[in-house]
Amino acid sequence: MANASRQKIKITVNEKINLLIPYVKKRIIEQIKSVAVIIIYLILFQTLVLGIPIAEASLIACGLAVVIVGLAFFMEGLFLGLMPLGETIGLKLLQKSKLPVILGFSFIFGVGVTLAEPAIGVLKVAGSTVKAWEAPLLYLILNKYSNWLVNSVGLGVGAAVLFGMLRFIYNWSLKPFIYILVGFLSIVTVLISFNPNFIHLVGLAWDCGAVTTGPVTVPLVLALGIGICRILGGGSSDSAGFGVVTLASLFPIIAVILLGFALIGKVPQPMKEKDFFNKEQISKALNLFNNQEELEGYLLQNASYESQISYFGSEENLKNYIEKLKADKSLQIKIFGGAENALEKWAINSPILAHKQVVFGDDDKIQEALAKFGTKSDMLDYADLFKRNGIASVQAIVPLTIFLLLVLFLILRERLNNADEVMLGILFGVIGMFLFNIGIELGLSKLGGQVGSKLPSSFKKIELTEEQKKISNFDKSILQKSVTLSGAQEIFFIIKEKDEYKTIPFDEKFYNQNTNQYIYTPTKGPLFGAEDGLLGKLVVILFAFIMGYGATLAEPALNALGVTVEEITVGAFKKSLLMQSVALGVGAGIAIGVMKIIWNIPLFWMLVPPYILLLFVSKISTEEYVNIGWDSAGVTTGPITVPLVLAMGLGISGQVGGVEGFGILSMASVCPILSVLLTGLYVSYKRKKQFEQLEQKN
Amino acid sequence: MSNARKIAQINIIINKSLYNELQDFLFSLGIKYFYSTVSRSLMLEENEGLSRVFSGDNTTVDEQSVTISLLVDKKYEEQIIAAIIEKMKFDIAGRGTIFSKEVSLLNSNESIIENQNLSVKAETKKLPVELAGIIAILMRGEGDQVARVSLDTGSSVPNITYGKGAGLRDKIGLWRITIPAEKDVVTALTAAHDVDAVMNLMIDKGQLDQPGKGFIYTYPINKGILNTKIHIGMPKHAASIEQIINVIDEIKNSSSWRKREGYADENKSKRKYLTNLIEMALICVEGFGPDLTKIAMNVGAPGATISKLKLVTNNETLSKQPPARELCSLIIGEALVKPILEALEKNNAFDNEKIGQVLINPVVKAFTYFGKKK
Repeated sequence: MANASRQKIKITVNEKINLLIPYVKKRIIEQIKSVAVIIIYLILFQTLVLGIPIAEASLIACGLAVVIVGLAFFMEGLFLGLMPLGETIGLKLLQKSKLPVILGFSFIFGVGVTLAEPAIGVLKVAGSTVKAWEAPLLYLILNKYSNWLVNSVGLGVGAAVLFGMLRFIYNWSLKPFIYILVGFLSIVTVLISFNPNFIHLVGLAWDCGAVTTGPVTVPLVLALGIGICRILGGGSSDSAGFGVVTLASLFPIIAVILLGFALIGKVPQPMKEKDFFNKEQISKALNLFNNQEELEGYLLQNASYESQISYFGSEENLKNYIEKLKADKSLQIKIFGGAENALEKWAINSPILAHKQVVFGDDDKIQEALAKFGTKSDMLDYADLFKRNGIASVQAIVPLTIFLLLVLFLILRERLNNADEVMLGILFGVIGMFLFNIGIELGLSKLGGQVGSKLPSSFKKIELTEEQKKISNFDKSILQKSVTLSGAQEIFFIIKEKDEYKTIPFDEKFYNQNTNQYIYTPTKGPLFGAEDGLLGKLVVILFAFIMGYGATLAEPALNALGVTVEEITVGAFKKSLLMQSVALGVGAGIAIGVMKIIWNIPLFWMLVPPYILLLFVSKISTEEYVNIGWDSAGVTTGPITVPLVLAMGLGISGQVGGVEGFGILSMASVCPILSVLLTGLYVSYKRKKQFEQLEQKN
Repeated sequence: MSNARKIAQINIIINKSLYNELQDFLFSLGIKYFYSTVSRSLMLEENEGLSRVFSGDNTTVDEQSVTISLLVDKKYEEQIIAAIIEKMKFDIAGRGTIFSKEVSLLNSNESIIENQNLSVKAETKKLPVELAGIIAILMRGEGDQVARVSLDTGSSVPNITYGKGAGLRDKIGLWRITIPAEKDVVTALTAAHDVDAVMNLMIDKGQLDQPGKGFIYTYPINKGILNTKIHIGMPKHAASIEQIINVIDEIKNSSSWRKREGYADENKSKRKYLTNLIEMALICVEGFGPDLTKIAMNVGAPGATISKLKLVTNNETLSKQPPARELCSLIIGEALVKPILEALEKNNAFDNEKIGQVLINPVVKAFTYFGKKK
């Protein structure tokens, strides 16, 4: 067949341009459409409703443009390269290999996919914000045993892919898996009430489930399943191939919880900070760290002065210890790590004056050091940005592709149809992911963060700290007194800014006597109704809904799922129907999650009733819809939704005083399953009625 | 094996929920294998309330269906059709479509020759309507509007499958990715006397007289029964119009009384059709289709549409073969049949790896954009 493809037509540059323009245009427009809702909404909400001008608007606009180009590249890369490769392997694997090889491949594939997933790294970063005394188990797993965490998530995904393939081969239903896994998770939810350590861990476990199903994993796993199902089953079972994603988001949860069980014996109960560093139980606390130095470093960097004194016995001992530290460079490295001037930077950023005095000396020296070490660099480091994302995107795609190609060529001994196209696709995938991640960092997360932090101003007064202003030469004689209806007095002054006069309440603590400066922070809100009013909260909830809806429509993994579903049902299950029902579900879920934060509803009530309802709905739904519905839940929490949702969740909970942003994400997983299944039930109800009419009529 | 012979190709389009019943029944008749592919049927649903204002009287509704293609010895043709109609109640509108065409099996891997030695006993009766088939190959996404012609003219429930085009696209290297290959393949059946009118309407609707829009052709059908359940929902009269038509067809034992008058638009009847063409179907194991198509194209075939099939079998030897197959459909001039077949034979298309099979049947009329009139 060597002569088959040799006939080529030369095309001129002009023809190439004529081919390229509509091709590029179509793909860019597609992505603009998918991102449009979220961008227009965010911008409109910012400028019209919240009325806060977008800082760094041009940078964000650039970022968004980069997201669109990145998405276009990435999706094209999926359809040209990664998915055909996955499908070919699925197709050939069953024809050419025995069961153990298939299962071995599936397992390794699952583990590899996880290790390549860049979001896994995010979990490790999250570990640095966890307080060891508040959530000892979580702290232990995210820090000392973070490799165990990644490995167990990997094992979980490996097992999921393995069972997913077994399901296809033996034609098992997905439903029993769901019943067992969700049942297990419910038991764990009950366990939470007995062991406070698990409360925090379960949150992490769910997040692990969500991050494993990323934009590279999902399309690959789908394509693999579809390839395998082209071989298996009867003539009508071509719409099988789904379900692995569901398992891949449930198994890791179990794996992380099991890891928690294995390590629970090593950690103390959550307790107050002071008790944690108390001499009597410090041996238990030591379990959380690799060695005593690490614990001491953690103590100095994170704990209060009180706890530090309690650990060292007395103020004197603490002071001596710092002196020793200042003198002993090697000890510094043990405590703070190898970074340059780590001790000085620590002292500057430490809120404790005593430490500064020990390290630097008197007030003047401290001021000097402040100027030297205290400048936080707000400048964006572009070189670092490009390097980091470049490495991440290559890591996410290339090793996995090489593994798949090796399996194809060495184990299956098959050739690859359209190899040039696949390679180009993989290149597109890497480029796309690179641009996409950069764009997200520059554009979407920033925009999301801004809106998130200011959103609560719709129902309460918030301080705009980044617009803080310094008034020099503040003369206290301009202060005036006012009186309320009840007779209470308040002090205020009038400021002139850009030809506008505004009254500002005066607060002594923002006035610096030495420098004669007054620092004033503009406030905003409540924009709708009264402080803490219902109207303002409803606006926030509505916003949350539309944000969830818009972000979901832009998710690349969901788009890939939608295209796949439409393709294998020959258009009977439209991509738009799936996308819309998932997006509505996510929107509703995020709205409910925000309600949880605003009204502080316990997580139990947010998770258990929906899941019970879900089990019931799954029971009466068709296998096809259960597979697609549960899979789409796994793909909703992707690279666009998560930063936006987290930013908003943190923003609101920061203003309302809650701590957990976790409820929102889990609701964003439950609700789309429900909405897809309910859509399915409605469709099949309609169909059944048609059939009944048909039978009756004749 | 190379002795070409006439056999019967029976096609069945059935609602997905009825598929398993049909599969079991086919095996019980002694059928060793058949090809299946997932497809989509279109029906009309009457709009109510506001949606009537925005989207007209009717919207189309999709129904998942399965298309089955069955090769049998000609002597069983009528009996099998009768047995399936009886078993699957295809005489009730809305259950499915079955039709057969006469094809020549030019060459085939020994393992998948036409089904023989069947144990089928059914009372054959004359089917009332004489049929013709239309196939339109269009860009992905444009199939629905063309398929709707079949609904709007009351012909039958049309069926859509997916395919990929091969042709010029494959000769320009990697630049090919800029040309979309995905196609909608619309299959519709009409009463024989109606076929030209429906085809013309489809050409209008799909703008097939414009460049790059697609290709349409008609082919003869031997026997069959239409699915005339065009509308979804409860009929507003004691009998639906489809039922009445069916009864009159049965009484008259023909459908020619329905011939549409007055359609013939002067301009459109001047359309120049291609005649004397042949539809060649090359079926092989998935993955070899593109290469075999290229071989045919090197000999002179203009292009092909490749779609995915699945070999469904209960036979022990056949179930060891890879079930994923490809159907490469080529429309060619008669003169090309022999050279293509020879080229395929030379390249071992019929060996036990590629498991090829080549069928041909005549095309009555075909139409596409021919370039500017001189």
